[in-house]
Amino acid sequence: MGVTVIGGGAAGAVAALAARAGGAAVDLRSRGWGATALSSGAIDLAGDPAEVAGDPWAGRPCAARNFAEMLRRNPRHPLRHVREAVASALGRFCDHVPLYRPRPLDAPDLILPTDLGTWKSTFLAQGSQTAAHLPALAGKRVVVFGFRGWAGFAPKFLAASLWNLARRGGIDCDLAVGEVGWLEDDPFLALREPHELARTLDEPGAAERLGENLAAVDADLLLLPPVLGLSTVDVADRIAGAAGVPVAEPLASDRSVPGIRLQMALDRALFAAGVKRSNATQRPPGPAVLATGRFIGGGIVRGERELREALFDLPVVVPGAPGSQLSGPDVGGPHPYLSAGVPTDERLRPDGGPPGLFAAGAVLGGYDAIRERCGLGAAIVTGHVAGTLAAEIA
Amino acid sequence: MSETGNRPYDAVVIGGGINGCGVARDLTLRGLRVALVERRDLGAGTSGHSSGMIHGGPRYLLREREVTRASCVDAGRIRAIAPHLCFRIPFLVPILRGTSRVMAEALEAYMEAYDHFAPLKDGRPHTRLSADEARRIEPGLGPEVAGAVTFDEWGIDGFRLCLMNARDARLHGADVFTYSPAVALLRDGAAVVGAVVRTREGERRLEAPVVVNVAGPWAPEVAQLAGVTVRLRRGKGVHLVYGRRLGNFGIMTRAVDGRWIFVEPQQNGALLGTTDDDTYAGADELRVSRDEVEYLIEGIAHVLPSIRDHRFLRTIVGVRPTLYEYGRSPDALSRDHAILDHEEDGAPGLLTMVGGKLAYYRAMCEELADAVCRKVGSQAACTTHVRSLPGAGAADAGLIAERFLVPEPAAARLVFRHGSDARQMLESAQESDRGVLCSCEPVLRAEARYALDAEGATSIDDLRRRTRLGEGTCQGTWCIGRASALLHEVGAASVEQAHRCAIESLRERWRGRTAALDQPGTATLATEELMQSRYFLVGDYGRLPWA
Repeated sequence: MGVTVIGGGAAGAVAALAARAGGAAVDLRSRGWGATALSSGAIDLAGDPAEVAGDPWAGRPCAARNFAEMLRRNPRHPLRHVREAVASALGRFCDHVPLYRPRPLDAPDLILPTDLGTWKSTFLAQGSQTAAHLPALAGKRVVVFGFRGWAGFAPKFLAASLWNLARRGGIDCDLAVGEVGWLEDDPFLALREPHELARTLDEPGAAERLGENLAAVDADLLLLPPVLGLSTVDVADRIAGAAGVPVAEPLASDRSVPGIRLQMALDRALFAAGVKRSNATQRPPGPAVLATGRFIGGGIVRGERELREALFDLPVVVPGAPGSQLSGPDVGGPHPYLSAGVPTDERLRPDGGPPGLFAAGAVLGGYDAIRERCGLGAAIVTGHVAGTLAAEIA
Repeated sequence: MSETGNRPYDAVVIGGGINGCGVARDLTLRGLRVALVERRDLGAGTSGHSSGMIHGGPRYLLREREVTRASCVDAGRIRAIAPHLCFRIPFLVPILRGTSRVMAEALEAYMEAYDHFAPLKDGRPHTRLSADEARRIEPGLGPEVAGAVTFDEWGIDGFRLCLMNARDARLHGADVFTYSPAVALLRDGAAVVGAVVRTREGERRLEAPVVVNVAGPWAPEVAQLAGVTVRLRRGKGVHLVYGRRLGNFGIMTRAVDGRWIFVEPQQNGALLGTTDDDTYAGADELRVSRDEVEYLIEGIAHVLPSIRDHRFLRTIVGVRPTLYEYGRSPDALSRDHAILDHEEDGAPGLLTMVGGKLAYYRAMCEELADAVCRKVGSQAACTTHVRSLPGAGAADAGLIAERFLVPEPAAARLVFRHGSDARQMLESAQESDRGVLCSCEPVLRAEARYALDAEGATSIDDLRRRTRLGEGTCQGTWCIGRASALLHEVGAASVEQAHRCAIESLRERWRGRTAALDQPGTATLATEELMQSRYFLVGDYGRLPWA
């Protein structure tokens, strides 16, 4: 008997790959891309619990310490069931998705620039993003480049804002601004979406041509718009090779190309592993992994008032929600609805679910991926465990 | 530190809603020197939270025929001076099954009476529709509907109407101070001879023989600066905002308690409103309850059941500064206005205007300007009914789209909002500013930059009022971050201010959205999750030193 995985984001893809590695035939069902394709490309595992508002870098803790602290503070966190699998799950993930290079759990968190002009701590990121790790930029000259005629990226604001925040964190680097020509003969350049620009950089020789346009720049690092390739993994390296200067891109929150790049890399890994795919939506028989996401993915839905799990109608918990109040008073949270999901036993079997059903990723309840900063990390680790367990009974 | 304004004025106008902007323009066009002061942004109070209708007020036909007539006359004039800002809203009033023949005839007679006024505002006469005819043009009507009558009204963007009045005043010499609350009135003995305003640069003394208090719901507070009591029945008015048009017509019907409510196409979306309840809360601390939301939806669902299939994006809430009267329901209160000369209260030189409707602001402002002129001895006549507001010339959206290579929907809304100024705006725009800043509307970067450069916008919230940035389906998820970078890029904000503006704007959007988050369905939760991920997960706004 094979394993059915429902959901093709990070949790579902990793579950499918783990089930394949466990020897099962896998049928992966998905309706389309979800939250993974909208992600920044960074993989959070556990945020720094000592973080203080107003101090961007209180301490520089590592994932291992953060992880223990996160579970201590949130005893209902689903990652408590799978803590032994963290290192191996992330290692397997990096094997399958070569955009990411493995890092030890006790390495200090990465501090990476974002397209909103801020720095974000995270555990793992794509190679093109890791190159802008803040502590490595001390005393360096960074030039933030935009494309002439395209306002989808704000180099001037990014340079000023990143410099300002870095200095508050005690790191001095020289952040300058530049402009480079790309697709300048396109009359509709101003209206282009990030993924359209990224696609042009996938074309053979394109990255090298852009690199040549940047060859004369005096810098230790070039920070380019986060459009460095959609389906090609080495665009940043090829630009850097031609320019003779290291190249990086910020984490993206606005029509994120790195998110799409991650999703496409997962799709390729699934294909390479021989995972069968379909868009069937009925309840599967036999061993299965539920990896349908939260609201963006469509795993948790609401009818009249009550939240419920979409496919099996499983009960959903909303921790910390008094009455039916799903949101907090301030936009900055915390918001109970973000922790809504299905509770499970220690083997990730959802309460009230049919035999052989495991759950992974954002459909799991009991944690707030945004405030606890553990979203994609939790998806990968729970996906790995759920896929492995499903294969064992297949 | 207090700085004396470098010139005395003929009048200081306190309040930058439609009455303040309108009277400032009227007085300025008559040659008077005017200072207009507003505690926040122009149109940020009642005017910006209205139904956005220049209507003739058929509702007042029986009780206050004069209000209806004055509304219609002025609606026609507003339509003539700002044709680009007005859009026709055909309304449909369903007749329900079980309505007696007498009642149906009465409704028709009522509409016939309204027809007499319709030509005054370029309105079309009413029509009577059978149930089949009504369903053919509005298929969503429910089984209760046995027929309908139609009439039409004009919709308008209330923010831009304020802005264009203020801009025309400034073009003709008025000084406009936004984000400048009046903190004291200057006195010479008993006489009120000006105001002290706290601008962002410090306090300023603005001297004038007449001070005009048109602060709307805040009028009592301003009058109190002179020790004068002004009483209002403040009515809380709630609207639900939908992200798209729900039909071809506005629909007007009775709520469960018999009050008239409506759903109308407005801009790219639809508005459902309104409630009218006495409020004693501060005008800045109003919240919308689930009861108010359900009251409105239930009323419309009675004739348009499909309303429940649509999700509303947010709620807006405003305060009607209605004339005080004890012992009547809010709905039964007069919509007329009153000009109070506080000479009788021992504060000569201070005038207050309260009450009234957006729909005939121009006529009210004319009356108020007449009163000011009598005080300062001016004989100048009003010209606001014949002089057009900025942008009133012709423009062709198709040609603009072709010439500047911008999407046609973007060009069309530029023409609606800026009229003949749209072309000039794009002509002077940089190449990259043809890009889209807010994709829901869509708002081009050029329009936002113009609002920052030429329309006095200083924050993302100001940009929203001027351009509707962040008013669409995503409620700022994409555009607020982009706008903060633009603020910095044009030199309107430091890095700190740009981030702070973004956070304030997220908070402002959130306040109107909490009620929307409680409605059935998942889409609002998903949008919210995306917004939280962008700003609080990736952007890590919660940790910014300025959060």
